[in-house]
Amino acid sequence: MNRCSYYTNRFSDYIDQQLTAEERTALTLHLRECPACASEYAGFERAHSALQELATPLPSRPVLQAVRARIRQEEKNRRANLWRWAPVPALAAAAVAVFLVVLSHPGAQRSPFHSGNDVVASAGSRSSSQGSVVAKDATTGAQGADRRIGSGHGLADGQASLADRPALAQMPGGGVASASQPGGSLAQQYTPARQPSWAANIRRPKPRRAHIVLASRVEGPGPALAQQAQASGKVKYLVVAYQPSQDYSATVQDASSGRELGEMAVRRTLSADGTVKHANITLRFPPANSGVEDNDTKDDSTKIRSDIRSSFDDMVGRV
Amino acid sequence: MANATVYNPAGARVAEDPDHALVARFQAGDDAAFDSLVGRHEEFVHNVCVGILNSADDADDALQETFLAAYRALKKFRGDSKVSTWLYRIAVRECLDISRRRKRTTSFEEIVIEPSVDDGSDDRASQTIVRQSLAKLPPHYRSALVLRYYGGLSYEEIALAMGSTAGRVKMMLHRARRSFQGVWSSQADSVED
Repeated sequence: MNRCSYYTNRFSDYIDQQLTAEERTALTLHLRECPACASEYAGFERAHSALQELATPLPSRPVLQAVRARIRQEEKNRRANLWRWAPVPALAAAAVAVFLVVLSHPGAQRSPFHSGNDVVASAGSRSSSQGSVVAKDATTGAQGADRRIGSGHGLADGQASLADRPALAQMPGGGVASASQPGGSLAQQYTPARQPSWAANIRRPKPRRAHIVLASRVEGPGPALAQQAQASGKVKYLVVAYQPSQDYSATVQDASSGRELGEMAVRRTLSADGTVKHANITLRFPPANSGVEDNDTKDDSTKIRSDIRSSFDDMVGRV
Repeated sequence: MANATVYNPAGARVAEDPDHALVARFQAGDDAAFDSLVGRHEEFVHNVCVGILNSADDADDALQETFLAAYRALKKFRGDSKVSTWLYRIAVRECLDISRRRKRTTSFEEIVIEPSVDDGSDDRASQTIVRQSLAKLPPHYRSALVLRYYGGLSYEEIALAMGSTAGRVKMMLHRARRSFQGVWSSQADSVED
């Protein structure tokens, strides 16, 4: 290293007064003797001064209210999840929204998924068939009544009621595209059921902390017949969310068997207009029965992560 | 080095930090103590976020995520650093997360600054150039500069906030300043032309 490089590499320390007295004197002398280094230092110092002008704070929007609202919501979601591991009576009124995670299909219609505090499914524009909500038992995966949504089926546009079963709505991700409001969006509003009194006492098994965090947004078609989607072979996973809101937890189930594969926590940041700007998704996999993850389970979790990651990443949409 | 600063995170700094009393109250069950902490630090944390992200919207998101993460982790805070440094660490992490998730390349976005009493249009213009130049730096350079100039953090505090060492921070600051100088000079020159 030549002499000039030695000193120019110490400009930052010089400005921050990190040099010893001897080093400082040596550098000062060098700057007097070397016009090139002096000029370089002058430029360095001007940049330093410019940065110092930025010390003036900028006004910010009050954040406490928003943070407290998120904390309250997380608390609600946590309490709601306490009874999830308990057997759910067939006729228990549970407020759930079920999303289908569909592996992306090359021809799948992509459409935005507008969400707010209610579960919202998007409307694809390819097909004009009505969307359908299929009630599905959250635990056993058994199909229940098929409740049509959209006009002409006894429900208000975009409304699906959950009387006795969880409803299943397709989450964007590809596959079948159908909508009752072409190009628009459908709000599916779920009336939260009253939580059974024993639910509060249910302890949820602690999941193994193998997790990945995905910054992801999911897009896909609008609500569609879950059965049709499943039959098409394009639906691999069901994502069942309870009381979906800005932040919520969901289970990930194998679409054909209903076997629970893991759980998903979704944290969303909403824009002012209610659309989702960012979504953080944490996947967790419960411990295998033996308490040791066997190869099958490991393969499952790796594959699921990979599948969901490939579905979620680089997609403009919502969860 | 004869005048090297020895940083003792578990020593005198702990006793000096008034925020630790608030943390102790929170950990004892006083939830409102968290509100006080937010009030004390939101402005500076916000400015760190603005500096790193150069986007008012993203900075607001990062600010929210920072304090939310802080709330979740506050019960486990051991007091081995200043609360502000701990918050900055969370803020940098959240900002870098958002920065990575942004699907656009780092680009200039004008930050709207509240008008001051006098017409500081020249000041605003030069601040804009500085922000534009910062925005063109790699995220870790931006973070180091922002923590140093916005936050007034020492090398050791920056090291804690960024999960690094004081020696690396020193090197990073030097390179960051060099990079900034290069970008800023050409931006400032092009404005003057």
